[in-house]
Amino acid sequence: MINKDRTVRDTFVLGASAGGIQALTGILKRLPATLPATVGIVLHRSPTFVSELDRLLGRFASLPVVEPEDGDPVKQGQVYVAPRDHHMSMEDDRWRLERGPKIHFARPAVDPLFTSTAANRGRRTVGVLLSGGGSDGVLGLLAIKAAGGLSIAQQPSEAQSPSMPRHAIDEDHVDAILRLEEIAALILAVAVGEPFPNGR
Amino acid sequence: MDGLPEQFPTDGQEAFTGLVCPDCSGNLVVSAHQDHVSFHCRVGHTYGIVELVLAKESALESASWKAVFAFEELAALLADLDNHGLAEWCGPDNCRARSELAQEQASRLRAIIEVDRPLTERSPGNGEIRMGPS
Repeated sequence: MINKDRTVRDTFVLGASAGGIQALTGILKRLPATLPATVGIVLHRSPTFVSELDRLLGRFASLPVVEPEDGDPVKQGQVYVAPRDHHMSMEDDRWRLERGPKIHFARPAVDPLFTSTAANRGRRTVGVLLSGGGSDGVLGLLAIKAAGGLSIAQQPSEAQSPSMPRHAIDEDHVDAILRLEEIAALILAVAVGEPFPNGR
Repeated sequence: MDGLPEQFPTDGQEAFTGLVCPDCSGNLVVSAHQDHVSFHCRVGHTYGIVELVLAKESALESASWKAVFAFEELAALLADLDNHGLAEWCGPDNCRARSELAQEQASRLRAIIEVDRPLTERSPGNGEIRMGPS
């Protein structure tokens, strides 16, 4: 059983790379507009080509999806997507956007979002590593677990690119390995402090 | 030349390597966090094991093509100097010989690149991973 102690965990950070659009939409489309939580997303993306990732994901989501500006407050009931060419991190309940050094060849990278959210929100944080290549996000998941949060990996057999969740499983010993619909169900449960069954 | 430190760091520790950052050529530090090993430079560029190896493979190919281009450019320059009667400073015969050798070296390097086989990450397979009840 996950979240046996019925902690309200209201901050969900999702990281993905190749195959990530399908994974993210598979979760977002299952989240209601009334979700009492914040969702932060880093998807590895081109630093140079303009894309409308927020609008693309927004088509599948009931929650509003935006790319924050530097310094914007972190609000509930919102999905925040890291803009291209910037690391997105959380600091004093505000979003920070920085063109820091590339991490795992990526900017935005998953680790800055995960580690900063762990530092900011502690056990309220749930980190989810989805489809992608490489090992970005693993260090962040370790930080989330160390802060009392939950670390989740997408079931690799379901991921278009299983390397990233596989690294998380091998190197982080995640709290759960779940399919997309199970991840959405877990978000709904722990956001209101309910436990989630994991005895598959 | 050392790649990794003789005493590999344990959980929470880090140590200097003999390697440089693929992005900025700064010294790389290796650190261990439970079972996760990562490398970072002073700037903050960060890599996992696979990413670092693939970056080194990429750097090797890039450097090899630069060498090919340098040999071919030298060969072309020397051949043209000879054709224009501008090779007296080294002697036309020496100029032609060096041009031909440079062209041969470029061809050898192209052949080396052709048969080189960079590592790739092994496919993890598509089996389902199950966790016990927790």
